[in-house]
Amino acid sequence: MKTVVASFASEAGLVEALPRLRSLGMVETYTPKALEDDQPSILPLAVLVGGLVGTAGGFGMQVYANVIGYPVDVGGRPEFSWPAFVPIAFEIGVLSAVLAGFIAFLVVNRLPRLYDPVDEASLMRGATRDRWCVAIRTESPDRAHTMLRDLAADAVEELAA
Amino acid sequence: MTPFDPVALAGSNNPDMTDHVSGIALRSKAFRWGWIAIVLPAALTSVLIGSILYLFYAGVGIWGIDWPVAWGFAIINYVWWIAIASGGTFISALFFLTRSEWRNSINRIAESMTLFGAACAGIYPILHLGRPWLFYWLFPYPNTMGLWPQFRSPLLWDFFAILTYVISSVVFWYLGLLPDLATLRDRAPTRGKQVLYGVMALGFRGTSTQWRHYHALYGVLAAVMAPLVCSVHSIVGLDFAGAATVGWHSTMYPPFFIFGAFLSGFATVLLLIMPMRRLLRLERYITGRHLDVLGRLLLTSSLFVGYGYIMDAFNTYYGGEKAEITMYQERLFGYYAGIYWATILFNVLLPQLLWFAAVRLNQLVVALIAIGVIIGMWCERYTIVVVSLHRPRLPSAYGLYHGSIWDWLTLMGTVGFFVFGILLIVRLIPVISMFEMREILAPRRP
Amino acid sequence: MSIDLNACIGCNACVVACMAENNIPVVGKQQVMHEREMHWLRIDRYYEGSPEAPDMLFQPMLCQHCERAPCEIVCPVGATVHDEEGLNVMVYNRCVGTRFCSNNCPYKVRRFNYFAFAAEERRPAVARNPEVTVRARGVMEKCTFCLQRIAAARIDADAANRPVGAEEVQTACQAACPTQVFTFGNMAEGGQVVERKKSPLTYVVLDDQDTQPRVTYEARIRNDGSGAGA
Repeated sequence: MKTVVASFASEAGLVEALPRLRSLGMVETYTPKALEDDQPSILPLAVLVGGLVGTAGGFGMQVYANVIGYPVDVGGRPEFSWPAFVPIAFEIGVLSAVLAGFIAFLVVNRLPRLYDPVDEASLMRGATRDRWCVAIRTESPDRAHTMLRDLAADAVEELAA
Repeated sequence: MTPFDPVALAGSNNPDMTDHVSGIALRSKAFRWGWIAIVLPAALTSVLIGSILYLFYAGVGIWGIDWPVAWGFAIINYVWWIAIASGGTFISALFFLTRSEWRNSINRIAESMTLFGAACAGIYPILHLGRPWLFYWLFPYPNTMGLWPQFRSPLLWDFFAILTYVISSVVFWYLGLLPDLATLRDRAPTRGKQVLYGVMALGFRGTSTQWRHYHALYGVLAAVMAPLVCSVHSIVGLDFAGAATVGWHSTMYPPFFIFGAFLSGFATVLLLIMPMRRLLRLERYITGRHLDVLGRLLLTSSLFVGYGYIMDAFNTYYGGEKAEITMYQERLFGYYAGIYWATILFNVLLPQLLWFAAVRLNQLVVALIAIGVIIGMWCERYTIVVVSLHRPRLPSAYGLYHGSIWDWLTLMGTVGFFVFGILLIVRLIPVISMFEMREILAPRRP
Repeated sequence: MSIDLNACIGCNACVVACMAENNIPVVGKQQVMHEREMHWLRIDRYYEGSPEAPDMLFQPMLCQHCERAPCEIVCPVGATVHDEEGLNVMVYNRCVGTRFCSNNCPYKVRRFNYFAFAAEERRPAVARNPEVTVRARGVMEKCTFCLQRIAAARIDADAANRPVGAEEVQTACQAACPTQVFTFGNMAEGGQVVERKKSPLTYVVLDDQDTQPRVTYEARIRNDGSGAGA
């Protein structure tokens, strides 16, 4: 198994090449902006769940504090003064939604990942600027080289692993 | 420069944009003007630190607050800064949801403005406490007696709102930075910078899964941040509307404060991008269209705020309550009338010049109008806080208020700290969101 | 408490007594110029008529101990709450000093320690009332209906296994007043306060605010010399 890393000068070039390259083995793209992708992500669900849990938790905390934990006469207002509990419950909900989303993002992408073997390829430096890069893990690196030459890849490198 | 300029001038392309913007942050030597520009803000930041230390030592009595005006500059400045900060989130979150292309080149500056505006705002609720070392009692936990904070208080809602807003803004800003930090990591000229940006970028490489999750999360968070900023500023409005004080107890306050946030935010963004585009040579990416759009938004917010002032008057006279009418007439003709009329002039009258396209593109006039708006918004907060408090319901409790020297020094200190922070941001991170610009730029060199 | 405005002559003895009883600091001329005097009880003076010969009207103003206190609901840490005996109690050690309670009080009876006024007073410790806390810098204070006297009476009553009597507690202002303006007592036991509150002259200050205060006033009847309504 070898990893062959290549870069294309344009998004169109990479997109055309991808179906053929996938036949060689596992393919991973590294691009300066997102490619067309219809697959769903679980992150919106994580944000929603985080938000609902936070809101319920925040509201529950206030109810506990005022009704069970330490009920006290404040201005003659009822102990279960739920309208006054809404702003804080909402804010805690938003906070947990945002944090849940961010943490889920890190978990799903397995970040932080400060080193990846593909970083050894110097052409990867262009992946965050203007080069549309692809890394192919394949049993047959020679076939990969040939195919990439046919597809007019900008630069090609082969890595040890 | 015309209002019909494209959002990025013809001939702009991705590689040039990336090089130019990342180059600003990665230069090994700071700009000559950067060293000059940092002196005054750094000095003012030291003044701020000194004022805060003296405040903690001597007590809140060094400020001008008294009886019955128990809130002064601290609350005025807090609301003023939060309005400025909120404006940044409106641009980065709200206008993301409307898919406005012009947002892409200014949203990084707007978000950075939010960060430092919120920082300047956030210190005031702690500073103005009589016993600030006990601020942690507002955190929701049962103390040794089993006592929780009092959740019905608008100030506690404020605590949670600001806490949520600051943390969410930092997360949203950081998330929006990740792909650009990856770019800086990959273009870093020195190992030190590579490590710094590499650690901050968390290893973002632009893989297909990373982008997919990234865009999904960013979109959802923008949809969460937009109502968040409205709720936070509404809760700041409820600090007043939830009180029984004359002139504060009005249901109009939450939306009225949001209108004010729009106005301050757009004015401050304009004041930041106009010098930046010249000094950092970003004219290709911040064009006449941006100035035109922001000018129109400033005008629109000014009309909203003007509507708020009219409704203020209507509610007071239609309601017919004697104490309210007395206080309102104090606003117009009393001791502090000058400040009220300055508000009307700067917030409502001057921005009407922006109806003319020629004015919207004249950067000097726009800068003057924006500075006027910022001063006008401060005067508006002053009027709301001080005039209402100095004319309470019982005539025996009428009083006066003047800001002391420490009030002014602290205010100037926060302004300096804000500018200091913006300059740091410009020096260290890309001022334009490069990956978002790629969405709208030409795909290859022409 | 019922305050009879027909009896008040504006002598300020109640103000001084309150200051002595509750260790209220004297703040000095500079701070008084900044409107930071600490009197829990003040005599409001209103003038009526021509500037050459005005009528002067007095009204002692103290914490009204509202059942629906606007100050209690705005305190973020719960430093001011209502007890079962109907008093609005100020918990000094919980106060962080946001001063929202002062802004929300329609009667403006709350006083804030902008500086460490009590500590800065040059006064020997023996000059202070040992029954009452001396407040620190940054803490709000206000009339407590002489809670220390109520507590002392409660201890005596508990020891004798009886409820606190209707007139057993006298506040400092009540005790010092030469004309018996203040009527104060345990309304649960009936007594004078209940009787006085039944008077047709009884009114509540700023009653449109619906604070339901426990301090009511008996309106002043004046003879304007016109002979009408004999």
